Amino acid sequence: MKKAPDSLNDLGRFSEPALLILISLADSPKHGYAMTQDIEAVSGQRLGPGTLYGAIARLEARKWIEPLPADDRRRPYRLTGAGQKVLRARLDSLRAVAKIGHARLVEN
Amino acid sequence: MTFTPQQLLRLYPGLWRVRYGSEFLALLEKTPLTRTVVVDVIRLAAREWIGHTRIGRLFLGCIVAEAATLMAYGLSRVVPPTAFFGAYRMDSISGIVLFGLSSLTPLLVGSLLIILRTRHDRQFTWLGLPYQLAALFGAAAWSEWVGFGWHIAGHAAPELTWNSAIGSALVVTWMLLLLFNVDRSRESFSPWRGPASWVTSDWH
Repeated sequence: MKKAPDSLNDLGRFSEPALLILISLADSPKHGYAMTQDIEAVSGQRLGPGTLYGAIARLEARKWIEPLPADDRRRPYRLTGAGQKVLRARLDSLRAVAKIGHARLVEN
Repeated sequence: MTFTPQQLLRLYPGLWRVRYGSEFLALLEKTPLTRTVVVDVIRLAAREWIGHTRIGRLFLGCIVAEAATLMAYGLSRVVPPTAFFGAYRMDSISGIVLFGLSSLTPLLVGSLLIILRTRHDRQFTWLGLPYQLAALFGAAAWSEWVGFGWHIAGHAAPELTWNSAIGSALVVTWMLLLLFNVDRSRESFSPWRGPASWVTSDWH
């Protein structure tokens, strides 16, 4: 499958945490701890602080998320328009893969 | 071994701490610092140093060079002499000397690259003299040290002279300058601090 430009795959080992962060921010801005809690609730994975901030820094550098003014020491982040596009493209791709996988399971 | 959140934060490059330190510390304070979490935090610190700072890459280069030297030393002791390797086996003193020298190679090459790449910076006029002098004497000392290592290994080489002693002192000074200069704010600058471009940054 051809890789889309600026895809999450470019983030290497941070691509999966980055996807989870984008999903977490899709409904509302969140700070680091809230993201960790939300991601654990949604996916069952608990991201370590290093993994979380490694992914946040890379997403921010690509302007897929942006920081909001800090609340005390905690800084919330929100999804940008570009981030929404990337997330949507990735979810569409996953849905297509999942559809094929399910179809093959039924065939067997 | 237990770490406090502050200790873990101090593992990160200065510019990273300026950008993310406060919020990252707030997160660490709310997270139980289990072994897995500590490893995760240390792993990101190493990534940020190596991926975003030149000193981190130089340090990695030193480790790789030293590992290569150790491997070469081990091979020279273990592998029987062949036509390819010749009859030479490194003795332990020359092994130690070459081990030390190998760690300098990335520092010297990396530093020279940095100097060459930053020569068009407006600060270069301030930086030029001390760094270029150090580079010159450093290169001189380097060549003598290589000669010394070669000499210990049983080959004819020039003897150590005062030049190399002075050069060695300058190399040490040069390396100290490197170490103290790599982690400064981009705005503040003086001849005794480093050029801004020594720290590459995606951290805004």
